[in-house]
Amino acid sequence: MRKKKKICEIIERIKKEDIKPVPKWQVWLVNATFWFLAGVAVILSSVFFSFILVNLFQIPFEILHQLKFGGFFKAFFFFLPHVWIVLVLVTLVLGLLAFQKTKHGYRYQMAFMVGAFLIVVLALGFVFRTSQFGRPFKEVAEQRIPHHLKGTPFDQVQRGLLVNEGLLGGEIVGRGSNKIFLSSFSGEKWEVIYSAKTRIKRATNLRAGDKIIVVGEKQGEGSFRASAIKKIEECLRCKKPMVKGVKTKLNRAQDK
Amino acid sequence: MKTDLEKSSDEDLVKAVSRDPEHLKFLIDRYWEKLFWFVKRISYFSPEDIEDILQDVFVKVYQKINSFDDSYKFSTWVFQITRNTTIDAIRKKGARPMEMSFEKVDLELIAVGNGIDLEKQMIDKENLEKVGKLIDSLPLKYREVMILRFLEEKNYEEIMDIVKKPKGTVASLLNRGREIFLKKAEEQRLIG
Repeated sequence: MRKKKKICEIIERIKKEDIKPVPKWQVWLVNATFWFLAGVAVILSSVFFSFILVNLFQIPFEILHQLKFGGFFKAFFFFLPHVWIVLVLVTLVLGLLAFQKTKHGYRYQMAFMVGAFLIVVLALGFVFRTSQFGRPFKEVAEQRIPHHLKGTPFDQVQRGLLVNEGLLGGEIVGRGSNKIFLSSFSGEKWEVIYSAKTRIKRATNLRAGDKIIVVGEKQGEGSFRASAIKKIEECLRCKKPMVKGVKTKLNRAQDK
Repeated sequence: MKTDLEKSSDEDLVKAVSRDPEHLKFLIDRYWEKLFWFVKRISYFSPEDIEDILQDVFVKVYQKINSFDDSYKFSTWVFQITRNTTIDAIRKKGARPMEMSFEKVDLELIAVGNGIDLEKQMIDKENLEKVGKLIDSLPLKYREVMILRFLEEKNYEEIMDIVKKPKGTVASLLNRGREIFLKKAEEQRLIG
């Protein structure tokens, strides 16, 4: 009897309050919105990752251990653009949250979802890097990003930030006995001392006007002892397109 | 004499309800007791409070009827809505009333499900009450999966859809709940 009364009350309430079922299109729209958000987040994450890849290919792995960062990984992360790393992580998390809100999203373990998302982001990142998909976006974005967050290896050298870590870059302005006079990319004058032990890889014919990267140790004010010297085209793992990029930046520096 | 609708499947009834709310009475009639006991077991609310919760549950069922996905069983879906509504009610009410809600048979089922051999352990009435208090002391996240598994006899997939957690998480909640249960049972010398 009591149950029947309750049933009547429920039906009565639905009629009295004019409760209507949520329309099917609205149900569909909510689910589609979460799928859309998850998709957009993954694509954005991949685009940002493709920007990191540009820097990843520029990292001078062969000299990382020589730099005084206090460890390979510290040096490695120094060369990566922190702003894009943060954006990759943020969009990845947003994508995961949106996916979890889809109809069956809760069925998957977080570890599985993170793994799957990472694989997709890595794969798409490589595709976008190859196809230069996000390049226009990057150019616009880079103008708005504070310089210190970009973190490209070349930027760091160009701004003379890595001298204390053992990396100096600039243009040869003259030569002496076991010495190179260098004008750094940030405009400072340096005397680079080298010896027979210094590795001057495929750059024996160094001459004024050549742009070089020197790995070594700061000796004092304006003095740098070289353990390795590389012409700019051969350093920083520059592939052909990167050489163009480097040259463009050099030209910009020269223009300034 | 039962009408055709009364005899039809839950899924057919769902279609009928989306056309006319009157048909909801067949679904309510079918699930009232099951859901009443489920809410009682996880919430310890008074019968009046449970009836209010169930009223909200069936109003929600009607409101969400178009989001019912027939890849689920209706029972799974309605348990999911009931569980969420009950948890909301627990949060709203804050402290829950400490009233034991397990029947003797419930306690036996949970004890056996957790690996306690009642005959071997010679669990008498007094000890069964201890088992009840033990279950009562478990956090809701463990208690609800144990109730769904051992009392409502849901399989892992159904529990996963009801509590909206991955299967692996459900399995580990059950295992962890069982571990805590057995540890406490051992401490209280319910098992040797």
